[in-house]
Amino acid sequence: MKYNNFAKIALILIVTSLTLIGYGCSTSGKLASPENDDLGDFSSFTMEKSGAVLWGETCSRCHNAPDPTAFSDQQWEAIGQHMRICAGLTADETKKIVTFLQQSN
Amino acid sequence: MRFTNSLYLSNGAILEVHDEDTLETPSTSINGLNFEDNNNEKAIGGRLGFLPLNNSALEVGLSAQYTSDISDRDSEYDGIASLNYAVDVSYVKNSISAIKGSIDLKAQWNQVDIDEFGIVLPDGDELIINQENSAYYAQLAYRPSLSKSTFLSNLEFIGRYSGINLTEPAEDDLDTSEEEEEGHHQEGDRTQWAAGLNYWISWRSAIKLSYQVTDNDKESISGFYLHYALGF
Repeated sequence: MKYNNFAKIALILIVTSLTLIGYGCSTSGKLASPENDDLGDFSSFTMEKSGAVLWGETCSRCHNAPDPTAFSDQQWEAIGQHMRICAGLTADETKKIVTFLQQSN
Repeated sequence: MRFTNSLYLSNGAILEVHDEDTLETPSTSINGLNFEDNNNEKAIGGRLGFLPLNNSALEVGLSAQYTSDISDRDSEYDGIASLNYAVDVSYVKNSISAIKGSIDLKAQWNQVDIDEFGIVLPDGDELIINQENSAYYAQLAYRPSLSKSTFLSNLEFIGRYSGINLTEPAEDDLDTSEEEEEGHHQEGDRTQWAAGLNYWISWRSAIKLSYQVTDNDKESISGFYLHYALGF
């Protein structure tokens, strides 16, 4: 019965993936191109986000971000590990966010 | 671009057949709470999330769950598969100076497909059950978080539209009398408009005032609702 439904899901996945991959390729192409830049090739240059920026961008996608003073350093450690799973954060991102919150409380 | 993913294995949904051995017309429902394990088959599911923007504001998610059999272990029905899938979109952007606040757009569409099966009635006829249900919602919220007024910055304005398309009466309607059913708004297909105003007391608690209009095939029911929400 489900062959039609599997086909629907597969089609949605393929179309969405191709669309997003296409968007991603076009975006990264602009970022990596040094053609209009007199300062040379910046393709290897990466700008890392700070813990404060990551905190502002990621936490509020699902819930109001609590004030850093709402929890102690130890509590932020535990919350960070929990939210790393929930929000799909990397270890580096989690560490930056937790460090920012611990320094701000 | 950023991707997120999740994969899980759990007890599946449970197929419930009501009034199977009575003179009433049988009906079915799907119990989505999987605390109980009713057979040896498991549900496998997962979600893929795509975040195409550098600031992670936009997320498009695709999720699905499949169970090869949702009927009870000792049931006469066997091999009734369930396939659920959903598409969700979220766009959250904080501190937009042009509108002096934040916006939160969320939308989701879900589909539940259950294998067709037959129930033999006392008179020998067979009642074919075919359940393909869908539900959706779209919600836009605006919070003037950059307002200089603390009171205004804690307010949130919300509009929401949702709907559900059922192939059978909801479980709650099974035992209602005709008089009750006339005024019951939870039967069958329905859509709902809602406009709401939230006041955030703290980052995890809010008072919510909303006005909702629910339409089904028979009537339109509206009302004001006041809620207090506390998150953990």
